[in-house]
Amino acid sequence: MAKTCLVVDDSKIVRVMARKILEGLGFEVFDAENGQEALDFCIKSPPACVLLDWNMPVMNGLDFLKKVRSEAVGKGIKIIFCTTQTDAESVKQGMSAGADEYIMKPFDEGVIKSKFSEVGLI
Amino acid sequence: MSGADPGTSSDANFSEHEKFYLRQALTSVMKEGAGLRAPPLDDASLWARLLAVCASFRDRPLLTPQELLAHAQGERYNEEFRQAVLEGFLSRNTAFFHGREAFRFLQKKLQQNIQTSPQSTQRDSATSSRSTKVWSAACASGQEPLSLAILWHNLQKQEDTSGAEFEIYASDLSSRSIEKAKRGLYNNFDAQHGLSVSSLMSYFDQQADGGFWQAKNSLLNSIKFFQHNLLHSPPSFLPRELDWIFVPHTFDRFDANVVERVITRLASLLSSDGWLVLSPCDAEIALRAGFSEDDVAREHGLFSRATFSYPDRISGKSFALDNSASAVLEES
Repeated sequence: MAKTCLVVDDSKIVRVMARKILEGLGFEVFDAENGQEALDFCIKSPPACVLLDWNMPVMNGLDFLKKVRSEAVGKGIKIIFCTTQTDAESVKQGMSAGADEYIMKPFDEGVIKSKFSEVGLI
Repeated sequence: MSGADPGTSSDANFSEHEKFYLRQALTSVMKEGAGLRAPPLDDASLWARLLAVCASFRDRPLLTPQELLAHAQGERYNEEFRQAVLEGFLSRNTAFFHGREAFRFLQKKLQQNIQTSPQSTQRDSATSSRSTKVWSAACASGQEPLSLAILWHNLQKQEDTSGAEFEIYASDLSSRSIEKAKRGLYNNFDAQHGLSVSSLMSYFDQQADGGFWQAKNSLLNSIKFFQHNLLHSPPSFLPRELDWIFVPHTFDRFDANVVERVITRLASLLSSDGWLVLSPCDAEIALRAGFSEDDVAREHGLFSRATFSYPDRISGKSFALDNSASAVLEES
């Protein structure tokens, strides 16, 4: 059975691009436009992993990360930030909040493969 | 078109006759200078390559394609032209821990070495000695030797490595690539290809503008960089009994007639149980060059010196593995 990945990004272009790459890697892909939508999804049917943007309306990625990690179902999900927040302080903040890996946009298939491999998803 | 800025023009407007000369010159220099196959060049890619070659003339950055054509049409290509062509074609980027399995295998061997060997400096084999010598022989922009340095630094955090040494040598044919490798400066995009965020944060410092990451001196200082053409004999300072030679993703552009000789030469530099790291797709070449097949090799592009025998067709006769192998290769 294919692993599931939730792509959370308010940009449709990024969601489409990520979906294309992840489906090529064998994932079943779902998407959400903000942290609240992603949180609802994860509580209902936790995916194997989340590719997570930081800056989004309604609920940003950092708040989503903290909330989902506080839920029992959220502890086992691999969460990879994928963001334009590329300064070292943001990286530290994101990892301290419970992210498993961190992607600095822009990204390509090579980066996705590399980071997903780092956390044992492929 | 004389004097046109090669960086802004989109069409060289060369005649078919002139294009023929340029293609011939590029192919010839690539083959003779580096044993490389020139890729098929349509008009667009020929123009792109020419721009890269023009940019390679360090002291004359505004050299035009027309001046280049004059070089190509000359009776002999001068050294400046040869070097520029090679630089224009060779500059390439790579990724950290590219071919991850080879690094995992190396780490496993190092751990075995450290855990089973007493605190001794006696050197008898790649798996039991306390000194490991590794050569990244086509290191491009430096990610491979830096990955080796990171691997060793990480191992030092996990194991008692006191008394053990890990020597890293790194070379490339392209002087521009070696300069980039020595600098150890990568943009956000390149820095995360193959590198975990924890390694990035541990071993690199972000530049003030936020767009680049600088490898720490502790990594860079552990690598001996030098420019080297794999067609030539290695420099005298390179140890003759290396434990590992990394040349993955290198030979796909080499001329087929040269690859066996290069691989055979590299094998002659390995210790008796050293390892040669190629691409999995190089397995056929390695077999032709004298390595025997085993499962590890087939799967990950790893070839043990223990499985190597010099093929008759290269030496002209069978002979034992010894230092004379290099001399024979020079003659062949």
